[in-house]
Amino acid sequence: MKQLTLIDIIIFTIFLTISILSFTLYTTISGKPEVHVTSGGKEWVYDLSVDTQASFEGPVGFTSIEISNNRVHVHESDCKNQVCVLAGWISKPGEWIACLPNNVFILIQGEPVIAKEGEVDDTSF
Amino acid sequence: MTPHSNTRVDLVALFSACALFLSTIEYMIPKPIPFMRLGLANIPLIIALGLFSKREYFLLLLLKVLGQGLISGTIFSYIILFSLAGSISSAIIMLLIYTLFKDKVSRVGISIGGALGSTLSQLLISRLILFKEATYVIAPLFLFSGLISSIILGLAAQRFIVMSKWYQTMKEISV
Amino acid sequence: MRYSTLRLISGAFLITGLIISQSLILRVCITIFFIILASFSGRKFRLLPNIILLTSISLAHTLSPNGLVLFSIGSFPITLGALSIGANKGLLLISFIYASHYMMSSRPHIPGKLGAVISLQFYYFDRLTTKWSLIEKKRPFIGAIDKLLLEIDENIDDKEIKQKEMRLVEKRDIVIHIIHIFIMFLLLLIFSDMVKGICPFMGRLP
Repeated sequence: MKQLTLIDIIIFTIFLTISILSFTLYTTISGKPEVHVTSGGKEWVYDLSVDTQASFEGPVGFTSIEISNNRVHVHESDCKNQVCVLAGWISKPGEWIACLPNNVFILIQGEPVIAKEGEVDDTSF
Repeated sequence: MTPHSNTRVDLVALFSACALFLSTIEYMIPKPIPFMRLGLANIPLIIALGLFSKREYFLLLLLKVLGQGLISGTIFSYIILFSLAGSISSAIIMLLIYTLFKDKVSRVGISIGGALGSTLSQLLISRLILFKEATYVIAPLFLFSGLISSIILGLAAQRFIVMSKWYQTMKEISV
Repeated sequence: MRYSTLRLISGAFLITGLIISQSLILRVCITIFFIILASFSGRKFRLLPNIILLTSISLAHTLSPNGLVLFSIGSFPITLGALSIGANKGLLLISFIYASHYMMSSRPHIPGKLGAVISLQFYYFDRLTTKWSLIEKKRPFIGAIDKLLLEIDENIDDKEIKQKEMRLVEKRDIVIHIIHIFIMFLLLLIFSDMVKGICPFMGRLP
């Protein structure tokens, strides 16, 4: 077309570049840490970064978890030994908490966050 | 106010009626994905540059947004934020591009620039409110479709400006 | 008061009810309520676009997993909680849309110069929609548009510029709108926590 100018083409190229670059955004979605809970043959998944509470029913009653500040713990449980509650907060992929009497298993899955330099990891010992 | 009682306002009203008309057409076209806007209602704005003063241009923008909200029934929902953000950023960018480059840019460039502003601001709001994480997945699709539709609209607008006798007459009145 | 103003006030109350609502089943009821209201006000309800809207928002929310895993696509879990949150949002949006139709069905009067320009905008819009068949699919497409734009200016009849929707409110109208608001109040009540405590069946609904 005779009337297209240089500026037109420049603006077009800018838009095109941004569009192509947007494909790289796909990487920000995958790899986020998730809390996987298994109980009685069913599975639940929660985003570790979203604060939420959930309750699961098992043979001895209810076990409740709380996700807050990118950590998760067993908030309360109807089991006698309360081992799961005493386990405290977990936050790293690979860490887990289990309530055996109530058949509830909590595991954090995802890509490990890159450790800062000098930070000592549990697994180093 | 009656037609012709004030010719300039009259003209803005006519343009905004066209925007409303084009909004209706766009609303009726079935869209595979609900939030993709063709931007047909932007055509009057694109053509208005160079014809309208800044005040008239912004009045047209206001009328266009109100009209679009009414036709799509979103005027009281938070979706109006998308429409507002998209329309306002697009209109400002188009005005900027025209004011900076005047004759060195055709309606195609103006349209593309406007669409860039509109799509980016809508994606931002989508990230914050409606779709959150999913925005990252939709983003490339939105951007590419925005690019293509804005090129087509720009070409149509450019063609109109060059070929329409009605437009030429209006231009003479405006100078 | 003008009828359109009554509509706006009634709509404001109804929308407040909508915003307060939390549970999914309540939102479903409210959405249906608004669709019915809008239908009586003249707005057609097309099922397909709304279904598409609802599904796409729900699906988009599955990207943030939450709750019971229904099935997995590859390694990606599709969760019930996420769908539920998405559906909640989608229904909120659809309700808003039909609430807007309800509120806008009687053209509200905006005072001042802006109101006058808007009236003029709609006046030209009406003429555009009545005369648009002039754009026959001829090759000189632009020429046809020109012709249309010129035609609109001709034959302007001052009498055509009637004041639309100047209808004033009668007692009957007020009663009808109070009924609308009351229905919303009932819905909120039925699904509220008070009733859930009393009636166990209601407590089990999402």
